[in-house]
Amino acid sequence: MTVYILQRTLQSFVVLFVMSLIVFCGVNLIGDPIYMMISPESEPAEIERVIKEFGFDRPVLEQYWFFLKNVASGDFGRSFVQGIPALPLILERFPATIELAVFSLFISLVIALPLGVYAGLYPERKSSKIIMSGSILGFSMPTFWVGIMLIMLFAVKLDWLPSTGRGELGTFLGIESSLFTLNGLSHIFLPALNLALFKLSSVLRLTRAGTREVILQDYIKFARAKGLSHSRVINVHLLKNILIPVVTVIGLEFGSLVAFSTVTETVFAWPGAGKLIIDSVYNLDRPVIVAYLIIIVAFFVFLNLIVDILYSFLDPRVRIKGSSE
Amino acid sequence: MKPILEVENLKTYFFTKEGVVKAVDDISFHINPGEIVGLVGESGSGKTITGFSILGLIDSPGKIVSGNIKFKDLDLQKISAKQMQDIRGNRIAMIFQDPMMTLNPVLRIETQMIETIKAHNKTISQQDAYNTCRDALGLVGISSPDERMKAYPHQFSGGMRQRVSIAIALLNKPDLIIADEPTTALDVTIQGQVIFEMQKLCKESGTALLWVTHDLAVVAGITDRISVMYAGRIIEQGTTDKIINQPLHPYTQGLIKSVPSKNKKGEKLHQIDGMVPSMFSLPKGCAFEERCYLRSEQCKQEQPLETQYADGRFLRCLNIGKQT
Amino acid sequence: MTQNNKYELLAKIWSEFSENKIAVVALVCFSIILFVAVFASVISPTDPYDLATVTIMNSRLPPLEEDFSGNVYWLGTDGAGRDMLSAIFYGLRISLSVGVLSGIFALIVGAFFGISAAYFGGRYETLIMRIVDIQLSFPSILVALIILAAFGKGVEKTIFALVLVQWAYYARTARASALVESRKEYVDAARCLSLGNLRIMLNHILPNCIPPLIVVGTLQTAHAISLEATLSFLGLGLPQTEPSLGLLIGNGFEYVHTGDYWISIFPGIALLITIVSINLVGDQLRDMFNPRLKR
Repeated sequence: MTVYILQRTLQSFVVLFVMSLIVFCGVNLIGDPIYMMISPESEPAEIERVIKEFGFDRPVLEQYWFFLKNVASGDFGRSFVQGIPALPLILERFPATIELAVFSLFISLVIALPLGVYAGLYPERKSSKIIMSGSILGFSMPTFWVGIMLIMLFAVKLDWLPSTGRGELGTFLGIESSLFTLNGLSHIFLPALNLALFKLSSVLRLTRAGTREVILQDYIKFARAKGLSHSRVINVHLLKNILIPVVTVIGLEFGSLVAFSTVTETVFAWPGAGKLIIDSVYNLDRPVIVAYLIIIVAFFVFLNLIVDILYSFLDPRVRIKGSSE
Repeated sequence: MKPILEVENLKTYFFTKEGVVKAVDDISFHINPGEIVGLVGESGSGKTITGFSILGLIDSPGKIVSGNIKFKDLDLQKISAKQMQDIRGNRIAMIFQDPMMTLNPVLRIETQMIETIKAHNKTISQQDAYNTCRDALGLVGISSPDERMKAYPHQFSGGMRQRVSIAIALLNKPDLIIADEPTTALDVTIQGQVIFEMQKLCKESGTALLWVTHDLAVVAGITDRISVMYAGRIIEQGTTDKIINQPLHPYTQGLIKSVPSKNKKGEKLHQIDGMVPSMFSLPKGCAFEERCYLRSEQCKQEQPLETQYADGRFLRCLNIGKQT
Repeated sequence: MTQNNKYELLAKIWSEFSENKIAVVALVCFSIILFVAVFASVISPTDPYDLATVTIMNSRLPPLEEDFSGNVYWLGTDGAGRDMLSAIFYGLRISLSVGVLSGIFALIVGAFFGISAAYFGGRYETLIMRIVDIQLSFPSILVALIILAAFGKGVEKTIFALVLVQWAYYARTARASALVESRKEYVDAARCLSLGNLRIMLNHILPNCIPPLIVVGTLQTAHAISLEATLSFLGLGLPQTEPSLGLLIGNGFEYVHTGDYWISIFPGIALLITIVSINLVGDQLRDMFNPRLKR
């Protein structure tokens, strides 16, 4: 067990190291590294000074070591655009992204669970077949285009909801979030719905498969034989059993929601970390790009590590089994 | 005495893609109050489906095609879904075959017991319901029931779980319990205990019992009457004494001969030749014809009808008259 | 295999495929799209990138509108006065080429590593499969984002990013089927005859991996087209000189608040039909090749 955790942790560091190498190569060798530190419009003498100061005339390996040392100490340089250190700039944007991801997860559950249970209970009905074809469509639709369609319909045509930005913040239980104000909710609804569609199909299919499996179990028939009402059998006996695998999968895929929010944030001008990276790419704000990439990779590596370790506790077979079966 | 349950000409068919399966085909039997009746047959003979039919638990593609099921004065075919729900688990309870599968793995024992009471008694207080459940656990021989109420099914052994299902079946003091092979999945040592306890509890509360099993030896000791099923039909029924000691139908005779016992030590155990016919393509005549030592040309062509004999037993066989 | 046998096999595959009517419709749809993409320059009403004919005077005409010279724009024009229908035809060509090209490269890379991992086994296999596992634990968009944000945008870089995203799926599929195959006796026999490793892998193992790879290939290509559109929309993928459907939608996004819906809707519908039809065909192929679903 300890060996397994150690192995996994070591592996995570290897991944982080490789990623830092890729990012370093991408940004520092292909682009001009000087402009990571200084604007290209500076005086030649100033540029000369910076090259000396940051050691860009030194060998590549030494530069990489220098880069690693800075990254390890959390120093990614200052944003060219905003003039403040890149790391806090990004961290400040994360709450908005997490808030969007959490709320869209909530929406996808609220929509997909009942539909999935329904399609699983009555697979022969026409309505179930429509739901399932709809899920293929939902699976195929590019997120950004659906976002644009949502804006056109609900913001431009019907003028029901705002289409850009984050609303007012409210505080509840010491957490500051736009979910706690009406204005905030009206702003988050469309982007969250957009992001939810991305996960909806997979949750729906999972729920349907689970329902079809559980409904055949003896304990469901026994619950009916006890004279329980239909709603009690479905809402307690069936649902509790399906929720376990569904919640596990959703937990595992929370990371992909965060990654995909980049797209939604751009469409809806949502001021999260994803929008920041896209803006930074436009503005060639290299310190922010580097910082974002390193942080997001670290976030994922950490998330995967935790999930793996938790899983190995739950399922002893994982520990024995090798890699990819 | 007026029977508590009367099943008349029940037919339950399954309409699958591969064809119609006549799982239960024209069976009739009755149970008197407080009586223990055995329903014996091989797996696939339709005995479990009979139990589910009584409780209205047949799911698509299955369907009760015709017949009457009368419980007390109610025609279970005609009453509403709500009335049926009120009877299930309340007036008629059922115990399933596999104790490992009948309890919901994610709910506490407590929850699964109390909901059974509350489903039929909306006004009972949580505390009263709890007490009833705890006492029921004690009754079926589970020690420290208060602790056990909080547990999940996986913390119980198979025998313990079956005791819990029995306790659940007893909770609302039903008039009839349908026990579907309640001891098959248990160790032999526990089997005896469970059988003994069930018998005792039913005698005490005056509950009638329909004991569904493939094991003739089990029912021989506890039942008042026995019905033997083969390929969806009851081929012989009568008092336990007559069925066990003077079986008339060749299939019943075969069943009784194949029960291992002391006096046949060293001998080869009897076995009935041949196989149960496929339920998808039952022969036109008697389903047992191919395996029967009394078979005649007539058996191939004609479906034997249920006929009553002088000693009160019912029989479906074309050749028994010739034998006696 | 004789010519006759080949026809029989094809006929058998077709009869199985055509059992699902929706899949047949999807295949027809995809064939039309493919035709349009290949012959875009022939069937387009105008050349949307010919500066001589495109005029800003015609900018943002709604669908079915006529310009001063009496040309009808079926799907309207975009902000620069280009005919949307023609732009979509050209965009389809670019989207499909990038998607298919990256799919082919990824298939070659993935099949090579997957088959060789299964064939040689040992530490090499462990290493390859560990890399595959790690990569698959990252969402595809993140991998593409990292590459393009670090290296900048461009056609080759987009294809490179798409190959990097996809190869692991092919590698895993190829390894799984190759594993079954390489344990069979004839592979041992071939080894005993001291045939070259490469020859055994190519001639004996690869053909058996083809069906599952085709299934993964169709579904992955649909995914790649969608991902390319997303990246181009974000401004990270293709440059403006290669206007794929994603870029067209991105350009239309500027006008979303003015109500000029046609500039972003129509390219989106074209993209959606492409992806859905490929997915439906892929789904049917998967059902056909999946022995567990065989009746």
